[in-house]
Amino acid sequence: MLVPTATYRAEAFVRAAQRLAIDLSLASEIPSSLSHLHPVDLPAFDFAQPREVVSAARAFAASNRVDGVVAVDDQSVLAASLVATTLGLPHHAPDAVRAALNKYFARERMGAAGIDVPRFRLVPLDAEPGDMARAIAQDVGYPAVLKPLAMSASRGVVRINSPAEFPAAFERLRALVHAVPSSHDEIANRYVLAETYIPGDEVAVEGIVERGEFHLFAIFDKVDRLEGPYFPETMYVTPSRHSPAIQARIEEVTRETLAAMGLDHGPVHVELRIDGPRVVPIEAHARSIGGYCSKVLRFEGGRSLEELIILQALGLLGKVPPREADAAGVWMMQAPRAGRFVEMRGVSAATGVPHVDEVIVSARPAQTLTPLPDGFLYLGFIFARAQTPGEVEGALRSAFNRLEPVFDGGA
Amino acid sequence: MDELSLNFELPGGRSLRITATPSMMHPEQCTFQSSEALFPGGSAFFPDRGQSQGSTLVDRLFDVDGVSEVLVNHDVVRVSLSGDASWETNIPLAGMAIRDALASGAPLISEAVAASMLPPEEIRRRVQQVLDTIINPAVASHGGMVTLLDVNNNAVFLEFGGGCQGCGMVSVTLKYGVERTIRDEVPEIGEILDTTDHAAGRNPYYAPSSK
Repeated sequence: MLVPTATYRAEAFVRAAQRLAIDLSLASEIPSSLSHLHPVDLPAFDFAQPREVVSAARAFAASNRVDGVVAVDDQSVLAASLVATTLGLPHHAPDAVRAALNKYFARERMGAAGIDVPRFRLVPLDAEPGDMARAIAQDVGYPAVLKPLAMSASRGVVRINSPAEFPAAFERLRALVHAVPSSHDEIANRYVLAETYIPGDEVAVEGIVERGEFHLFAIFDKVDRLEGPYFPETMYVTPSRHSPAIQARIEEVTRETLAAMGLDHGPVHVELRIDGPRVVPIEAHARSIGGYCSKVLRFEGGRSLEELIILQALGLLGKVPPREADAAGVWMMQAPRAGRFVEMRGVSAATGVPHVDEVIVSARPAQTLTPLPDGFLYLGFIFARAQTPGEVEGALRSAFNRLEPVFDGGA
Repeated sequence: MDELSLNFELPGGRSLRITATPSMMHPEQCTFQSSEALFPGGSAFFPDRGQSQGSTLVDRLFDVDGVSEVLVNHDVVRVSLSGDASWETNIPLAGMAIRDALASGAPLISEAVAASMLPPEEIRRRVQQVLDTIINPAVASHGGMVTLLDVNNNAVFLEFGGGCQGCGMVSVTLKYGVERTIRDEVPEIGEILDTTDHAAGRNPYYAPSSK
């Protein structure tokens, strides 16, 4: 299992492996402080160096039996696909994963397959802003969305409504990409993406592809409309309240998108916009849902999402179990402002709201937080489960309203 | 096979719930979690019936056809089968064996077995030595430290501090580093429990992000 050190997901995967009684080696890009004591259990693979990953995988497999490879997040999924390919194990192929990690290449693949995608173009970071504002008017049109090629969780994403808004947004995004360069994608460090803004609701689709066959786990409605200028995700609720016809179309477009991307074996997370009858994919990832959000998903037999992912990697998944019948949802709490986090008040009251399962405060005391579009840390997560999506939404809103994040200098 | 819940009634009207979870990776093993403590705070491994020394729970489980090993840990029993025996048919039988042992009123784990466990002071001394000489010098390189808080019977309670408190990789370090090191050096111990309030960690070595 390839576990990047900056993931939210380590604990969930470790728990799943324990429950399945898997003999597990956990590779991270930086050696664990105890790697020297347990070199087989805790190896180090530099995820950003493909050649090193391949040779480390070969050396590891020479003296250890490897039955499957699991990536835990975006930062390690390319390395995992390289390791799997090197060892002849099933996984999304490296070229498909590379495309999924870069929003421009993803758009190209989708567009080439005839999928309805926003009009898009690359924007060089050394472009002259005035010229580029006019070029975007011609190639993409306003309102447009500017986004980095290789960041997630809406980081850096900004809507611009006119050429006049472009220079300031561009400067801000340029500074962000320079401040947080991609470790594996040089193109992402030199360009950003501009694309037509697609109005309407947004959904996220979670599933798994088993040797080319897509299995849908859940369609999450992003209940709060994301209209810009920034796109802070808040609430995911499943099952979807869109019409059966739209849901069928979402599944169909997801299937087409994954085939176009070449993502054919492993977990997938796809995001789409619904603009009237149009269903438009805007993201397709070769990994499962991020943050702590996978807690929302429970499957028949008590299995977790992480257990299903591990079982698939080992060729033991068998029949894909259905998700439990209840409605479920998560609220991702974004930092409301920049500052030094002190504490979260109201956790007991929020946890006591009917249908709320759990409140996790993931921000640490004294941690400095920055809101979107520049920031990237969640304050925490609220989870709810009920009979209907409406009850889940109500519980999440009620719990959120009881929480009060405190920063230095006041709430 | 999926998880299976078994519900029984004990003398005096107490209800007993046993959840059986067959292992996917080791199909010969099944874990039974009991709503009643079976060996409070303790852990003992029985590689054959001869090690039972009169432990009712262990004897009843070995009476089930094909049972080859039993591990008892507080409220959990992990049972292994050998040969052609299958959990398809043996889960109810093992569940009833646990129920019968509890209903008998006899000591589930005998005094002799309990007496053969290392005394808590000895476990404390040996675990502390592992922490002082092996683990803490290593985790100090990440600004972390691990403290032995308590030993209850043979269960070990640890607390992570410094860079380990709230670290995004602490579950990896605990399960695959700290726990394995301690078990290698002090195999007689039972559960190892992390009691840290990770939400209060002020300076975690690795912090999650969505870069």
